[in-house]
Amino acid sequence: MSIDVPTLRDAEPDRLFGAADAYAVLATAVGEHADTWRDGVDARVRGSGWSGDAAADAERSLARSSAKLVAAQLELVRIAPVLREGAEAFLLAQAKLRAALADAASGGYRVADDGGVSWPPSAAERHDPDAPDRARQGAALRDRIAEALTEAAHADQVTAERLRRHTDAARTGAGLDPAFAATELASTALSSAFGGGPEDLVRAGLPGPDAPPTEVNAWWKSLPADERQRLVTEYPAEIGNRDGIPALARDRANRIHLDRLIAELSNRQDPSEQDRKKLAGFQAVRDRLRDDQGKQPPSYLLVIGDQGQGRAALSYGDPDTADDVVAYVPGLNTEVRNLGGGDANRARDLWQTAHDLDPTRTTASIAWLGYDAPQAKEFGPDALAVAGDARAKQGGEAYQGFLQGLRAAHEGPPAHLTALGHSYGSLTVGQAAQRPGGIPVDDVILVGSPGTGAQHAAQLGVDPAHVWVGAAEHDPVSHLPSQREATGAGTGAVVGGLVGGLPGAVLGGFLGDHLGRHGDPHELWFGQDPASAEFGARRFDVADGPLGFASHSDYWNQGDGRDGHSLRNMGMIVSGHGDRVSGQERR
Amino acid sequence: MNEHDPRHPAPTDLGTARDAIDELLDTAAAAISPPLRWADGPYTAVEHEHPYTREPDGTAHLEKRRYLMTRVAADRYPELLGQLEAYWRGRGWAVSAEPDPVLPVLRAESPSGAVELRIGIPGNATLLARVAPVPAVGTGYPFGGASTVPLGPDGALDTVPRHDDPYWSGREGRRG
Repeated sequence: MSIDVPTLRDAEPDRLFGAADAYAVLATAVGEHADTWRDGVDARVRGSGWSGDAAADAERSLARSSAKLVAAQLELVRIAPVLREGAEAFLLAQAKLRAALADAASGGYRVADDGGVSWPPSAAERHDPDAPDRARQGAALRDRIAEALTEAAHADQVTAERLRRHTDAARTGAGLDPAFAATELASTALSSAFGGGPEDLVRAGLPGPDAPPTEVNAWWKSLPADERQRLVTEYPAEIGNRDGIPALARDRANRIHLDRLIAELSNRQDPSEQDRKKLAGFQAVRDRLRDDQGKQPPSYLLVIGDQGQGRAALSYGDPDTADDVVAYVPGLNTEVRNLGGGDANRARDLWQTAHDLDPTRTTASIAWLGYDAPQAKEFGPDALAVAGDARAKQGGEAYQGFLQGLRAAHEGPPAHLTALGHSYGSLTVGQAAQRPGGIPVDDVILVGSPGTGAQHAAQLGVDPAHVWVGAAEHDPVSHLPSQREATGAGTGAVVGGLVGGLPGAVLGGFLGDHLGRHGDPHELWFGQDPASAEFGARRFDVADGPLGFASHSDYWNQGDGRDGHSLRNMGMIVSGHGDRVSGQERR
Repeated sequence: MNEHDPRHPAPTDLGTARDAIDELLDTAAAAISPPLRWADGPYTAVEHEHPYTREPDGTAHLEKRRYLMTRVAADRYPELLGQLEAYWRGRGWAVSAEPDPVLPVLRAESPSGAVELRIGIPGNATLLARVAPVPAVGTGYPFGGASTVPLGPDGALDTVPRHDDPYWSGREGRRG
């Protein structure tokens, strides 16, 4: 059935709560009657000393009556929650509708009973620059109203269907069958524990997979507190990983989900290599959360999942209330176990640096692994060539949603939000930034970057004055493969020397193949070298680092002199003091 | 760590590292006159990993922060830094300074570890001592999370200096 606007607007689903309470009272009363019957009649007859065939028949008959009374009580017990859940879902739909109607009224839109939206045509509609906006807003209102009506109709239908089962059971007498009642009760318990069985109407209101995080957040906030708590414990995987849900709820849900993932993987027969890695990773994350318990800054588990190589994100500080939020994307060779180790350290060290620089501001520092980072334990140009940009593109989509979720769930004035990518993670950040809609950040930091896929910082969707690059001169990844280094010092010699030990000829051949396709001296494997003048970003000072790969991870060093510059500069940017960053000449 | 990276000598055991950190912080604080008020964070260990494969290498560094809780007026900072520098140089340690005129950092390398004073943007300051490498022991808090740092109303660390001192805080500090 469909529901029209006045019906939903003026409905009084509150009455269903009254009915639910009445059924609960009735169930209790029937239960008491059943007790009275059992103790007063059934038990007395059994204990009367009456014997013989007639007595046996009477006992059987009395026992059947006792069982029927219990079954009837169980049936009645189940009706109250059906009514309550239906009323809850109906109220939510009604709240949505009323909010849309209020917005329509204040914007001068007319809403018809069937949900159609119209507005008085402007005298000079064709020349009115606002006309397309009016049409867009009108369409958005229409969609919101239609959605509320659909949800209400759905809640109505599901509730009616459930009640029909009870009335059918009452009419046919099945409701008095103890076996039937027991099965029904069990299915209710199972459905609440595993999400199967009868549909959960409140959860069904969760916006669809393509809904923006703002909508998810609005839905969440519309729920009563006990419903939110119930969803966290009953659907931890869905609630914990859904962008737009507040960090505290995500954290609670994900910790439940994490325990389940560990239990499930621990009990798996013949686990694969991947399973073992994921299990070790999840255990490392759990150990880390335990280690952080009661410490400052507190940690929040914002993502956990077993898709692909595994997913995890950890925040030091509450991103929903912090003044400054940074979300760091790690790169090459990062697995879930790193989120419980080195990446958690990097996030905490950056939090600490920002805090030391400006303790009047609150900070949340996140390490986010919401994608499959390329794994290549042996370094070579192939490490990146084989990886390609597919993982960064997929990761970029997830990262974009994650950042939008941070924005949507933030309380009070918007946070100063920074995206940070290291190594291949900077390509992921770059790919996210180049998606339609871009990323809702104030600053972007790229360190140890093999490129972003962009030719110019402006393509990342933020003012190039807020695109920051850290590139250690001796970090081979930040040089690979750049034509100037290759041609300036003999093919592959410089990069070969940086890598320390790899035959220059191997790299040289690779470089030669690759460079044949490009004329730009600063063209990296993934677009323009972010540290180059042509890219147009601001390069901050980073120590050159030692030869070899140590310099690829030196960006979080807290050493003396220039060695600590990278972390200090990132702390400045994250805490909103980019004007104090110490710069370095671009390549 | 990487075989090409010469920066990592043999690890110092954790107890020795903790004692060295305490000595570095205590002597630095004691070198400043008139004395200032401080609050201590916990000892934190940060594990090291291979820079490319990201495998843990079995070592870590141990560090501890001592936050300045006395308001120090901007025109008193040169004197504060001067006292520390004189003390550290007097012990024969190499002293270096961050060439940032607004937010100075002063560092000393002692034979047992590094110690530094970093000045923050609103005039806060942090003493930090660090010993590396130490053995990695699987926790970020090998000596527990004990801390004397006050927490703000939101439950987070509040290390903004709050105490006035007739000498260090200057007129501005006394007025506040």
